[in-house]
Amino acid sequence: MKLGELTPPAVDDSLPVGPEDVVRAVLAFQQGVDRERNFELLFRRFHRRIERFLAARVFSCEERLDLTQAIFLRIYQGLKGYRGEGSLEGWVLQIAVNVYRKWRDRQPGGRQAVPEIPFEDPSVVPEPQAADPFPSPSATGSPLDRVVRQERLDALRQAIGELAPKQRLCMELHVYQERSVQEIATALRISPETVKAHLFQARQRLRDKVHATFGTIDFGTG
Amino acid sequence: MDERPSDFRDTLLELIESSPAPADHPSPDRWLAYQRGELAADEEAQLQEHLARCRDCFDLAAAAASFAEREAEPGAGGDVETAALWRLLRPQLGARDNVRAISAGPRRQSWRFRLPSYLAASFFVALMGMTAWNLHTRQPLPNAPIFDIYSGDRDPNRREWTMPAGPRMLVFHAEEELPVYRLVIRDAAAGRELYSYELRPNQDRAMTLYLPAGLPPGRYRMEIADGSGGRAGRVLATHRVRVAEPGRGD
Repeated sequence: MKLGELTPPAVDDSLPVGPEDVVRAVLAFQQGVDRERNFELLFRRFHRRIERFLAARVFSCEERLDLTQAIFLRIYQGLKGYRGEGSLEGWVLQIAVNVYRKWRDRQPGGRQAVPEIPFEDPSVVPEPQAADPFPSPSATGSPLDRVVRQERLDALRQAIGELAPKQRLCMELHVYQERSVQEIATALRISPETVKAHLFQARQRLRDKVHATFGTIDFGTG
Repeated sequence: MDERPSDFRDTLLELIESSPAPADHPSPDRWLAYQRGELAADEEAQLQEHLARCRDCFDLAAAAASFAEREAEPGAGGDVETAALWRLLRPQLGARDNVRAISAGPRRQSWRFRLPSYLAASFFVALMGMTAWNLHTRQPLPNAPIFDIYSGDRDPNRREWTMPAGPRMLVFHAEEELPVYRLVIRDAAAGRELYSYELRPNQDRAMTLYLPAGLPPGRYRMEIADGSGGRAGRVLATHRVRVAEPGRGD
């Protein structure tokens, strides 16, 4: 397609904006042809996706509105330099995530202060504790205690390694990245119930395996 | 012997962190394809393994889910919302650096906005400096000789005051009740005006003046005049003054 043949598409609010319309609009924008009009097409194409992205992460309506504007202004500023190496949608996605991350990191407490809005009842599945306020008694015990503890950790390590991949993955995301069940479900493209089931089964299997060797064990994970 | 939650977590962290760190991060397009279910099973599993170890990619993958969601048919309310947001956004498109104003912290203003503040600050510093200098010059100097001069002495040949070089304080005692006086120091030989000071009497009708320390040795004529109107008027008293060389005072 030659750029010279392009004509800026007319914006009709009632019609959905397709990917081809947006590509034409971006090319025209880069040529300096009626930038505002062409950018409006891009805006109409992506603004719902960006709102969906922010809706699950930013509680305040005003801040969501500010962030939506900030993302589109960033897109507007960068659009001239967009070289089309990836898809336009991927480029917009990356900008949205970057602007959101900057905002999130400025919140008091950083990432931990802005959890994704949970959709499930957190009391159904008790979550593993992120940190123990009391040190493990075995951690500061006698040499014998330390040896026993080491053996137990080895067994735990082996048991974790033997979990089914999805169970281990859910456990890792839940404990290591401290992600909520809903976040894990979104990222792994499974339902929150499935995530809960994986977590439950992982705990059961670990408990059974390590219990057979060492007796009663409390993982603090329900 | 009970296992603690922290032991479990530590072991898990150790397991994850001992595994090799992810080298290549999948592109946004790959995460979009992943969320749309367009990848093969093994590739999908690879990306999921990557998620467990990369927080940044987790954010991107979760965001891709919002983008990959099937678009619902927009209702009338959605159109109104879109149009309202566009009206908000549109005027900002031409402005420069407006993104930073929203997404970043407080930004530095341009020099045009900062100039008045800088000028005010400079003026304030200059004013304080001048005030300090003025206070310093008016401050009574320790051991500076004091000369009392009485008004009404109009005889220029009657007496010549001899003063040592350096700072000295003159106290004029006025007989008249004028609100303001003016002291003019002239070169005795040529009559050329060298210095002129406005003096205001205190409640005892005394006026204090510190003569400039740089007044060179020589002969001078001091005229005390009516200072009304901001300039020397009728001369009330004249005194002859000799500034002696240092160490050669009378």
